[in-house]
Amino acid sequence: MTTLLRREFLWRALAACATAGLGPARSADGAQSNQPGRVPSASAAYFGDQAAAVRALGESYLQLLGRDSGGDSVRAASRRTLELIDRSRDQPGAIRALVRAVQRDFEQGRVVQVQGWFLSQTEAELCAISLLTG
Amino acid sequence: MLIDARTLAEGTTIEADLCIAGAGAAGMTIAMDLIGAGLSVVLLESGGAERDDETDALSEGRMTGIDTWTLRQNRIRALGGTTGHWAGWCRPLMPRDFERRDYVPHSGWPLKYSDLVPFYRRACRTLEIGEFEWDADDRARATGKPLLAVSSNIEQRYYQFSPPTRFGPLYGPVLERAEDVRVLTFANVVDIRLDQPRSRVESFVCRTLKGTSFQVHAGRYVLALGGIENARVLLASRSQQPEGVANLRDVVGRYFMEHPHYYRSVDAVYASALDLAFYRRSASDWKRPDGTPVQMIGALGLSAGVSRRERLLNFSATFQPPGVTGPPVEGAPDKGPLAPASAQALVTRGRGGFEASLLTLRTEQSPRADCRITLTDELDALGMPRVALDWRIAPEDDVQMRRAMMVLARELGAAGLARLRVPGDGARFVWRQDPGGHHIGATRMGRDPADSVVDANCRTHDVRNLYITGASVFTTGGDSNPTLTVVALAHRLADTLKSRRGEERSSA
Repeated sequence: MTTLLRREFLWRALAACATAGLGPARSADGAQSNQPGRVPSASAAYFGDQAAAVRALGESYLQLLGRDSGGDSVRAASRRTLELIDRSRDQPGAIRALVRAVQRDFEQGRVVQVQGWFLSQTEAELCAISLLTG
Repeated sequence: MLIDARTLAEGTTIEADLCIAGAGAAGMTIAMDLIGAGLSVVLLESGGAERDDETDALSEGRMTGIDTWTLRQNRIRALGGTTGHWAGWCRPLMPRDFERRDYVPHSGWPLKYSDLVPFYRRACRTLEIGEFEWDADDRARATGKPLLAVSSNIEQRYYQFSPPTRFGPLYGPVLERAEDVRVLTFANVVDIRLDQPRSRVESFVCRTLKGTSFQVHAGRYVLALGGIENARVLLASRSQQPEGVANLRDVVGRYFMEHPHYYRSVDAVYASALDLAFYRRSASDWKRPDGTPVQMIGALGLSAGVSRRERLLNFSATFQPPGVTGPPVEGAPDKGPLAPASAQALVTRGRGGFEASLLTLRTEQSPRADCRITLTDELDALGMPRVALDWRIAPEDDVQMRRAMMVLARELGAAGLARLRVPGDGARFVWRQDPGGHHIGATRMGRDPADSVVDANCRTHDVRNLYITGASVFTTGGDSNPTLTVVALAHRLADTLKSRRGEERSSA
């Protein structure tokens, strides 16, 4: 997959926020896009279209980091996970990579406590990413 | 033979080879083992066959630390002691529980796990449970209930359930029929009198609530009064020395431990497809002679290696039934609903149903000299000082338990099985401990008289013919419910007493 294609995928994923008519999104490198799209975001897809349910966790995670809930904050706080998505060939590949990353996080102790829940770092970042679609 | 001590003539002296104070699980086990051993045994019990308020009131005292329970509620003064209300949970201490751990001060029993195994086997029969087999893989195969697929960092465990055995009704009649055992009911030890060099007990001074006083003069003596009363009687026996008996180094009453139970602190969310049959209370493959199955329940803990590496106290976690939330935890931040939609999203990722339940943690507490039983100025109806119990959980224990939960959460998360939630995001848990009603350590066992009261044979360091048994002699408590170990130690002490026959009148 070319860099362009990967960016295209990430952009399409993050552009899911626009599907709800909620305004522009930014890709991981901060480029703003107004392209509408129907592809669910990687976060929403990961959570089985229950992204709305984890937004509160995302907000709490950002608070834990001392960040606000704005798009730039989300992207800065979730860079690692956004890059993981970016490196994936397609959305199913991204989901598989995310599942593996979550498992590795737990195995290697990359765990954060958000609202009392012990979450993997990747999960916490995905919760934050879900804010981009909200 | 059963004798109501209230019928004795004032000032009676009873002679025996052995006097056991306390007819609970420990005292009755020893007395049963000594039937026909050629020793005359006197077994003293504070109450009668049934509980009564006046006798139970002798157990009242003050809680000066954590006060979520009272000194009276967990104890029974009647034949059979607290087996009259125990729930029957049985599991031995683990090999690691006997070892010295550099991160647990004062840890390390003077016994090894293997020393107790033969007596654990006998205790299984006494408590009417299955075999002394504790390999969860074997049990899972035998019952057809699969274990959770977790890494070897998690140690799978299980408990067996006694019916529960009520010692009073079951073993009381056996002792009553025994020719060489005299069971004196309504008999309370109020003083331990020593001989002149104060190296041997000369007599137990006893009193009834009716006011009758008598004494038992024996060759050897055993205190089996329970985890609090053992210390209380030693401390209160100050007619000859102000520090009490067997307390030359001010250790009696110190190092008190409980098994802090956490019923409402840890939420678990998991896919409803998860097979938790092994972890629900259900029939095992063992049957009692009457054909009833021995019940069991699976639990999760951490492996010995992980516990040591992470410097963690022992604990076991069991699953409560799904949906049980329990009342709010006082002082803890509101955690919100047990399983919000976010939990479902995390665990199932929207693919299938989920269940939520609380984990119950049964935990070990580190021994601390300042966690202790002392006497107060208040007297009970017998004129005995009531006790004050300063039970506390060390902040380090809380921190360790939080870390333990994080490790457990990591393992369950890595296995894709569950997510865990505990209250508070800080370094310290804000949660409520409930007691297990297990009174441990106040006359602990050890090699060094500086931090222990009895030796590996349950004999006091200071007084040669005085033995103590029960959970109060545990050096550390592990997380296992104590009754199986209490009964195993009692069987062992009975054998010691048999093997040391002739010691009765010896001054050696």
